[in-house]
Amino acid sequence: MGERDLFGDDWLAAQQAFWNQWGEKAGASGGDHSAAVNPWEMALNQWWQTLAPSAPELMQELLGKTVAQAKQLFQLAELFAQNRENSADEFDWQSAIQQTFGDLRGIIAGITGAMNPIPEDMLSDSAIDNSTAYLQRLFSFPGLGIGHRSQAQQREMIARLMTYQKARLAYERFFVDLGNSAVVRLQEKVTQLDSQGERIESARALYDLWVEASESVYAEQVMTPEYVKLYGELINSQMAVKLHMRTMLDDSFTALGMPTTRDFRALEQRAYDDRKVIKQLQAEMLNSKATAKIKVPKKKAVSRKRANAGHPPSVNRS
Amino acid sequence: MPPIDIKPEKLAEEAADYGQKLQAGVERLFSVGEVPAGVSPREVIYREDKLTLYRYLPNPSVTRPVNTIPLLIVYALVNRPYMTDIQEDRSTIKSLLATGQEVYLIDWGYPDGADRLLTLDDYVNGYIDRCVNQVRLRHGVEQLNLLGICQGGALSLCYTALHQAKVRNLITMVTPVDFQTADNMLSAWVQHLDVDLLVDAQGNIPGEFLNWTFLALKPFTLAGQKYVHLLDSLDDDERAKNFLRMEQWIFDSPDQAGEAFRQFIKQFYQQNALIKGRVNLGGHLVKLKKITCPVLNIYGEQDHLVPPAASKALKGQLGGSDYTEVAFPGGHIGVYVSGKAQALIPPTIGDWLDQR
Repeated sequence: MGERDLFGDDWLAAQQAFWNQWGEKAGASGGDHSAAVNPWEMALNQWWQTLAPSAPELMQELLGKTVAQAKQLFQLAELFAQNRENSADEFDWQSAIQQTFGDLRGIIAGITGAMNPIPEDMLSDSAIDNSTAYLQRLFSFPGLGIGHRSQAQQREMIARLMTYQKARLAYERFFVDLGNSAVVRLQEKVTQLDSQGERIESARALYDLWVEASESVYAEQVMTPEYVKLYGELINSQMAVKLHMRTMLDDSFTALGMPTTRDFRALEQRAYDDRKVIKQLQAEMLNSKATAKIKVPKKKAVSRKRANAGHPPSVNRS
Repeated sequence: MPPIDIKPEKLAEEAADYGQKLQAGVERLFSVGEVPAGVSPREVIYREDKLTLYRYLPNPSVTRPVNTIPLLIVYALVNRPYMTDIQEDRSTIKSLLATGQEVYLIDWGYPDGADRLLTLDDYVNGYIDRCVNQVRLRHGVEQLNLLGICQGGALSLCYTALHQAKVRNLITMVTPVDFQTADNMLSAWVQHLDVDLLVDAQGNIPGEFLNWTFLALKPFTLAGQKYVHLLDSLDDDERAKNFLRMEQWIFDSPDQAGEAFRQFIKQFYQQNALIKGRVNLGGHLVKLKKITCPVLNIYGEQDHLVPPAASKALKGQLGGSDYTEVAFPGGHIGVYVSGKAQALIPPTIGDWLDQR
């Protein structure tokens, strides 16, 4: 690695200069620094891009998450501090909290994204919206002729995709509302600290308080019947898409004379049924052996018992 | 002065400090080398399909008399059982050996497509029963002691209810019994889930799905804050290794055999059938009243996966009168790995077993 001065004194001066410029620029440009490049984030990105390829897989994932969270931590604090610097008169910290923490979708998407049965871009709002007219036309005609089965399947697929899209949007909306509630909770917690004469002076303290506020609101909200329904509909609609996708693929594979999931499932069932019979026979054999042991002459039985005590049964016997 | 007062110069210093910690932490993580999990010596005594039955070798330095009744640990189907023996100073198994127990453990392995149709009946009346028989035969005893952990505790309750004659004492650790207590988040989430559709679509349930579900119990803490706080844990090699072991374990989730998962979610979570005496395993109804042996029930007071009320519901449900409850001041994982747990839980189990 050998880049120990990556976050050293030179960088610190550059970063301080970058953040100190906010106040100066606020008056001149209306406080829009979105195009400006943050030296810390740039250095972090550069450092991580150099390092990541040489890291073992587990480490890559772990450190990737750590770097991502570090960025989030300081981006939140930076946004907040930026709001503070841009306040011409009295700093409205309540509004600054709202502006900084009001939207949790990015974080939640990071978690829910892993569950999508098909790539996200296929289900994006615009992809669905652009297809609406086409879909309406498609739905208005019955499937005809030689391709009627395929047409019916495609219509069913699109209907399931739209149901999933609807469920996903409803799920995301829930988290936008949750984000708003978390902001209120955070404001309450800050007010409480203020009344105790305490102040938040670091990015880490602000981040931790936000996590605490969000987690407490989340724990309440996800136990509501509304969320339980949204969660169920999200998973159910995903699975409905997946199941139908498999049916369509199976039909294509059948047409090509290739093995299908249906074929594998049938073989699995047969193997399982055979296994049951084998296990039953093995159990019966064991019972028979045990019964036979009881009937053998006493002398032999003692001898076998002694033998067993000295030599435990081998791995797969009985 | 506003209650939040983050000044640019302070923020820059904090970012620099964080960056330096990050660099130092990465260097340490790169240099710690192998992080083995599972530390106690053991031997394989039985294998079947993906299952392995292990016997842990007694520690020769332990002078406490050996309990002649062997102890079989039944771990959950979700996650991996090496959590019970994760490192030298945090091993429930090592601590149990130190109390003079003969310890066996069922490792369920990683189910694949060939295991998709396995049912709970196959697990309880098949695998567990055959492991119990192996241990009984090996020791020449009619009965053994059973220790079930989490979901493995629920399976152990089922097993004991159906095969009471083979179980001398039963210990349940962080085990749900009432699956529909008001504070059970997992239970709430699955009530509107179409489990048939899920299993039909997925076949086996991917471990990733379970990981997602467990993270979603506390997403801001487990998927975010934990990594921000990570750098505080990397100030020495041992702490770094501990973190890596835990991280590896958390995401080491085997896929779940589809049919067993379907039955477990339906019967245990959606119907709450265990406490109602309506769990049906291969045509046999599980009645907790049929459990007449002594039972030790250990639960975590801060358990967010299996809330205390879900475990404590066992009281009054059993057929026997010898019931002991131990509350541990910690969470679901802390019960096996925290220093406090090591000092409290295995000695309590050892003493309780020795008295019976």
